[in-house]
Amino acid sequence: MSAIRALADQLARRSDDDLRRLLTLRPDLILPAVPDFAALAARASTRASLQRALDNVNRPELQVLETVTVLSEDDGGAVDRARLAAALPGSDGDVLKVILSRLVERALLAVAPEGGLLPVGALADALGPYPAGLGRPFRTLARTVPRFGPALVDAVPLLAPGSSSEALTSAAAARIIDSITSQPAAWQDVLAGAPEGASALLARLRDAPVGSTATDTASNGGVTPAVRWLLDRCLLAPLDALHVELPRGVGIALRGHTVFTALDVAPPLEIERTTRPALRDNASFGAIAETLRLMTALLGSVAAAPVTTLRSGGVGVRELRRVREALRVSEADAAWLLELAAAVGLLTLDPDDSRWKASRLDAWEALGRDAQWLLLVEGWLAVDRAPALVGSRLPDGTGINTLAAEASRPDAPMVRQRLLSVATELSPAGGAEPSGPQLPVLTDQAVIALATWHQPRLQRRFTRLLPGMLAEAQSLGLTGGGALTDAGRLVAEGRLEEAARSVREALPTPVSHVVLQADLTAVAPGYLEPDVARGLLRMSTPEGQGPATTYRFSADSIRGALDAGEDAPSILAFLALHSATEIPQALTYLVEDTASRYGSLRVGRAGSYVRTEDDAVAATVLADPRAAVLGVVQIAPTVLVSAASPQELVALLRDLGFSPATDATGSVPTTSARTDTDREPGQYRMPPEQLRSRLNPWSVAEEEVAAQLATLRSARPGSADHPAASDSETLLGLETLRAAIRSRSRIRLGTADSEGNHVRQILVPLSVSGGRLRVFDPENQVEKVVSVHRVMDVEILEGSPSDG
Amino acid sequence: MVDGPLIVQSDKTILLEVDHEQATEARHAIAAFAELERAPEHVHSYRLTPLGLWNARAAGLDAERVLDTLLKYSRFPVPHALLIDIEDTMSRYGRLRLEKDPQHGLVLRTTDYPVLEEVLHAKKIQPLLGPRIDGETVVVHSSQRGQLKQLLLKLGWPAEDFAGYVDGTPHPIVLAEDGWTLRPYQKLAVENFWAGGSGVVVLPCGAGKTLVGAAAMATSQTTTLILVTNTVSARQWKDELLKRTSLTEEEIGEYSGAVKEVRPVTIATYQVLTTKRGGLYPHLELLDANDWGLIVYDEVHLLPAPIFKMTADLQARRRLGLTATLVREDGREGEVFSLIGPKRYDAPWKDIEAQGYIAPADCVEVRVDLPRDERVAYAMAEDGDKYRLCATSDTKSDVVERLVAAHEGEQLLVIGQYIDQLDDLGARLDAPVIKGETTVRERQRLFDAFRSGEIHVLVVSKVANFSIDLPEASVAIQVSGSFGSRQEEAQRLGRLLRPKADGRAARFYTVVARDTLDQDFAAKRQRFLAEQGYAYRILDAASIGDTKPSE
Repeated sequence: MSAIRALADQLARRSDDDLRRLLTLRPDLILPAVPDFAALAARASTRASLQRALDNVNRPELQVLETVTVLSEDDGGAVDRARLAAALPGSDGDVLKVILSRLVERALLAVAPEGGLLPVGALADALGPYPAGLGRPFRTLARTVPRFGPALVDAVPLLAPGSSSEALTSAAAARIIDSITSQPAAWQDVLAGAPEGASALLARLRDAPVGSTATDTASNGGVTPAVRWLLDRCLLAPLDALHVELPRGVGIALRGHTVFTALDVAPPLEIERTTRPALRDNASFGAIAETLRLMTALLGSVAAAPVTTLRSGGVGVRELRRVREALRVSEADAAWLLELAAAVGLLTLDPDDSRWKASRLDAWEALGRDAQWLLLVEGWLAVDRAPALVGSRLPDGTGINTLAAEASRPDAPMVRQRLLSVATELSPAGGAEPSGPQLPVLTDQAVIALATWHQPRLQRRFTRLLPGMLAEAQSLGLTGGGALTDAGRLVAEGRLEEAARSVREALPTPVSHVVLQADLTAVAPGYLEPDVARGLLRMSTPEGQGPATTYRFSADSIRGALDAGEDAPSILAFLALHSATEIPQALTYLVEDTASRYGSLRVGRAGSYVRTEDDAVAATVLADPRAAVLGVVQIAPTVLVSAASPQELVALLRDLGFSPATDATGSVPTTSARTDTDREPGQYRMPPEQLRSRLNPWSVAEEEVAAQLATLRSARPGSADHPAASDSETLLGLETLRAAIRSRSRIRLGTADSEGNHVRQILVPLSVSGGRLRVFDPENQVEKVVSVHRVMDVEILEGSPSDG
Repeated sequence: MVDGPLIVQSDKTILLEVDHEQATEARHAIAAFAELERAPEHVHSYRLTPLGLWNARAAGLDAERVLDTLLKYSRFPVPHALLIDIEDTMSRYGRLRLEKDPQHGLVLRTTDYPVLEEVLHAKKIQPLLGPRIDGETVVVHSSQRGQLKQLLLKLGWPAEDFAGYVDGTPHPIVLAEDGWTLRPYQKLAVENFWAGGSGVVVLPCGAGKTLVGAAAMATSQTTTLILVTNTVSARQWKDELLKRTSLTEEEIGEYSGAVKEVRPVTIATYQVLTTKRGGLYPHLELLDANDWGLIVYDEVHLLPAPIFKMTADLQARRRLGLTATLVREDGREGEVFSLIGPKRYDAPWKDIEAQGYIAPADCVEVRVDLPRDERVAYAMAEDGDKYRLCATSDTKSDVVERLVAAHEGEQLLVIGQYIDQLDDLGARLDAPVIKGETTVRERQRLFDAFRSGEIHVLVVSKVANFSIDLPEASVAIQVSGSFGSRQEEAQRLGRLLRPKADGRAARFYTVVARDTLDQDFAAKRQRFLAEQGYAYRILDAASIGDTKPSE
C-alpha cells in the first residue's frame, strides 16, 4: 500500500478531537477544504505543507524528525523506537515518547504497521539536503560528486587493510566504508593513523558538513597532508578545488555514532542582566509618551507638507531628512515613525500624486492617549512589514527606503507574536511593586536563542528581524529598559483592552494651562490638551523635546496668528484663558505692537481691476447687478477689482456704456494652483471608531474545522481508493515516481504526447523537481525530460533494479 | 507617578517649576550636575552637559545619585536614553588618573586597561607620554601635564589630577575682618575650592568674587599671582586687598603696561602677558619669576587663548578661576575645565539676590520712533552702517535727557558704544565722559568723584564694561551696544547690582530705535535678561513723560 494511502487510513481512524487538533495545528491542510481523507493525506505529504509544519516544530522535535529521516534514509525502512533512542543519547524515554506522539499527531511522522516510524511524504525534501547538519551518504555522493565513486573503490584498501578493491562497484565500496565508520572500534583504528590537523578539520566540519579547506592550504600551494590523507580515504568528499563535504557516515561517527550528541529538551532561559521595576516603568512610560508626542508631531508635519515618494518606491533620503529635522529625531526613528503611521493608516498614499498624506489627523487627535497607544500597538502587531530593515543594505548594495516594498515581510506578524511569547516566557510573572525583585532584561541574544529553540527552522529570520522588533517594542512601551512591562505582558496575552487601561492609568492627565514668562515663552508643564496646543501653535513656535513643550512668541509667530484671522484682543483673551499666571507686560506689548503694525500693506488676489479718476463712475459700476456676478468689489474709492478676467470685465463695462481702455502692463495672473492648504479642514474627517487596525493572524476558525470534519466523515469509506479528480492522484503518481527513483527501478510511464495520444514507455526515472521529471530511456540510451503534468499513470516494474 | 517639580526633556534640558513646594530642594539637588541655562520667573531650565556631569564627578557625585535625583523629583518618566547617556558619560571621568609615583614621577594610571590602550593609540597623545611601566601605568612628561589633560578631555576621557601641587614660597596673608565678615557662600566657595585643589568659582557680578580670591590667598599663605582683565581692574584688586587683608602696599606689585613690579603678591593683566614681540612673549618669565603658590584668574570666561597655553605649563600650581558665568562666547569651556579645573562652587544669581547680597534689577526697554528722514536714511544705508545710524539717532538723546531728568538726584550711568554720541550726550547732560583715551588717572578721579556723590551722571564707553566697582550707581541708560552680546549685558547689569544702601531696585534702561536692527538686538537682550530672571518691561518713548518711570 502506498504511504499516502496508509496515512489516509490512519487519519480516518483518528478521533474527531485528534483530527481537530491536527487541523488547528496545520490549518493549511484544509485551506481550501478537502473532499476526503486521501486528499487530506496527500496534502499533508506535500513539501509545501510539510515545510510550513516544520516551521512550527521546536528544537527537540526537529531533532527527532531529522534523526528519523536520517535513519530511515539509511535503509529506506521504518525506524523502530529503540534505534531512535540510541541515536539520540541523553533522551529520556518518556520525553521521547511525548515528542513522538506530538509529531505523529501533527502527521509529520507516520507509524508503520509493525510499529516503526516513517517520515511522512516529502519530509526528507522539506528538511533539505543536510538533515541534522550531516552531509550526504557515501552512496549519494558517489553518484553526484564527479570521480568520488572510483575514489571510494580505491579507498577501501586504505581503510580496511587486507581487503582488495578488485571487482568492487562504487555502491559496494560505499557499503563497506559505511560499515567501517559505523563500527566504533574500526573507526578508532582509522583515526589512529590520521596525521596532525586532521581531527581539528573534522571537528570543524562536524556540525556544518560543507566547508572550505582554504585555510588548510600548505605553503607550496597544495593541500596539507591532513586534507590529503582524509581525501585519499574518502573521509571527505571534494566538491571543488576548495570545498569539501563531510559524508554522513563520518559525521555520525564523529558525533560518537549518534545523530545528535544530545537532545535539547530544555529551552534556553538564561538571563544575563536584570533591571529594577522602577527603571523599567520609567523607561516604558517615557517611551510611550515620547512615541505619542512624536506621532502627533509627525502627522502635523506631514499634514502641512505631504511626503513624496520616489519613482522606485519608498520615501527618499531627502524627504526623510526633512521629516527627521522637523521632528528632531534620528533618521532611524523618523523612518520607524513613518512606517508605524502608515501601518496604522494614519498616513495614506494618495495614488493620484504618489504622496503620503496625513489623512486622519483630526481623528487621531480626538482619541484619548491610551486609545492612541492601543491603535499603534495593534497596527504594529498586524503590519506585514519590518520597519527595522529600512536603511539596511540589499545584496546589490542599494539601501532599503522607508515605506518601500523591500521592507515587506509577510511573516512579520508571526515573528512579533513569537517575540511577545518568548518575552513572556523569559520574564517570570509578578514583581510589579517598584521595590520588588530584579527583572530580567531581554537581550537580543536571549530572545533569539529562545525563539530559535521554539522554531529552529526560522533562525535566520529571527536573527534578522527580532533585534529590530525588540527596539520597536521598546518604543511602544511593551518593554522598558529591556524588561517586559505589565502592558507588554497583557498585549502578549492578547488582553489589549486591559493593556490600554493600564497605560491610561500610568500616563499623566493632560494639562490645559501654560505658564507665560517674560522671556516671551509659554511652557506647558506636561502633555497639553490638543485644542490648547493647536491654538498655541497658531501664534508661537514650539521648542524643546520631551514631555513639556516650550512655545516661543515672536513678532513673526504673532503675525502668523493675525494671518489666520486673529486679532490682538482675541490672542490675549486666549492666552489669559489658558495661562496659569498673569500675562507678562512684555508679551502684551509684543502682541499689541505687532497687531497695530499688521496690515499696513494689504495683498489679495484679483483677476482684473478697474482704475478711475472719478469715484462716481466706480459707484455706477458697483451699483449694476451684473457687476456682482463678476465679483466686482471696491477696495479703494477709485479702484475696483474683480475675480473675472480683464476681457470679461471690459465687455461688462462696454455694456454699461463706458469705454474702458486696457492697461498694457501690470497684468495679474488669473489662475493659480490650488494648494493643499486650500482644502477644507476636516475633509477627511472619520469617526474615531473606524481607526482600528485589523489583527490578521493566519488561522482557521473553529467552525471551518468542524465543517471540514463533517465533510471528511461523510465521504464514502471506499472513496479513498478512487479519489475523484483530486490533487491526491497526482501526488500518488509522484510518490510512486519518488519510490522508483529511490529504488532505482524501471517504470512504465504513461504520458500524453503533444497531440494528446496516450504513450507508454519503459523508463528509469532519475529525479523529479520543479514540475519536471528527468528520465533515462534505456532503449535509446538517452536522458529525457518529461513535464509532470503530462504524466497519466506510473507503474513500477517490480524487481527490476536498473543497475547492479 | 510623583508630582515632582522637574520635567526632564529628551533634549537634555531639565525644567524646574519654581513655584513648586519642592523646588528649592530640587534646585540644590540638580545644581551639582546641571548648568542653569535660563531662569525666567516661573520655569527655570537647566542643561545636562558632559562637562557638567564631570564637574559633578569631580565633586564626588556618582551616576547613581544623579539618576536617583532625576527620578525622585521628575514629574514624568525620564527618557531612558538620557539615563543611559548620563551613566555612560559619568563613568568616563576618573578612569584615567594623573598621579605622582615615588619612582617614576608623574604617571597616568588607569583602572581600565582598554581605555589606556585607546588613549595610547591617539596620535596627538603619544608624544606626551614616556615609557610604559606596566599594563595600567605610563609615564607622563611632567611638562606636558596640562596639554595631556586638555587632549584627554577632547577624547572624552577626562583625567582626574591627583598629582598634587608645589607648595610655593610661604607668605603670611591674613584677612582683616574688621567690621565685615566673609559671607557664608564666600566661605563655602573657598572651602570647596581648597578641598578640590584647583578649579573655578562661579558667582554673579557683585557677589564679591574679589573677596573669594583674598580668602583663598589667606588660606594658601603663599605668594600669589593674580591675572586680571585690565589695569583699572588691577587697581581695584589692589585697593580691595589692601583694605581686606593684612597685605601692605610694599607686598603688592602691579605688572602692567605701565608698571612692572614683581612682589609676593603680583597683579598682572592678561594683556601684558599676551603681548607678543618678535614672535615671543617677553613677559612670560613673570610666570616663573616667583615660586607662586596660587594663581588667581579673574573673569575666567574672558581668558584669552594664549593664556590657556601658558596655563597648560602651570599645572603644578594651584589655580583659582573666578567668573560670573562658565559660558564662553568662543565655546572653550572644555579648556577651562581641563586647564584651570572643574567648577568648585556655583551660586545662582537669584539665590544670592534673595539673600539680599545683590540688588534686584528692573529692566526697561524704551522704544523710540525714528523721524521720517532718519527712517529713509536708514532704509537706504549700506548694511555695515545701518546699526550705527539707528543706534545714534538724535531722538535717543532726547529720551536720555528726559530719563535723566526723571531720575534727578540718583547716581546714573549712561553707557554707549559710539564716541560721537557719547560726547554729544556728555555735552547735553553736562556730564563727564569716560572713553578709551581717558587716562587711567583721570578715570580713577572721575570714578572716585562718582562714588563720593560729587558727580551724579557719568557717560561711559565700553571701557567701563568690566571690573569697575561703582556700587552707588542705581540707574543705567544704555543707548547703544555691541550687537547684543550676552557677556556685555551681564557686565553692564553687574555695574548696577551692588547692594544699595537703601535697598532700592536698580533700574536698567535701554533706548531702542523701533523697526531697526537696534530692535532686533533688543529682542536678544530681552530674551537674555528675562532668562536671567530680571523683570523686563517695554515702554514707548512717548509715555515716559506721563507715567513716572520709577513707579
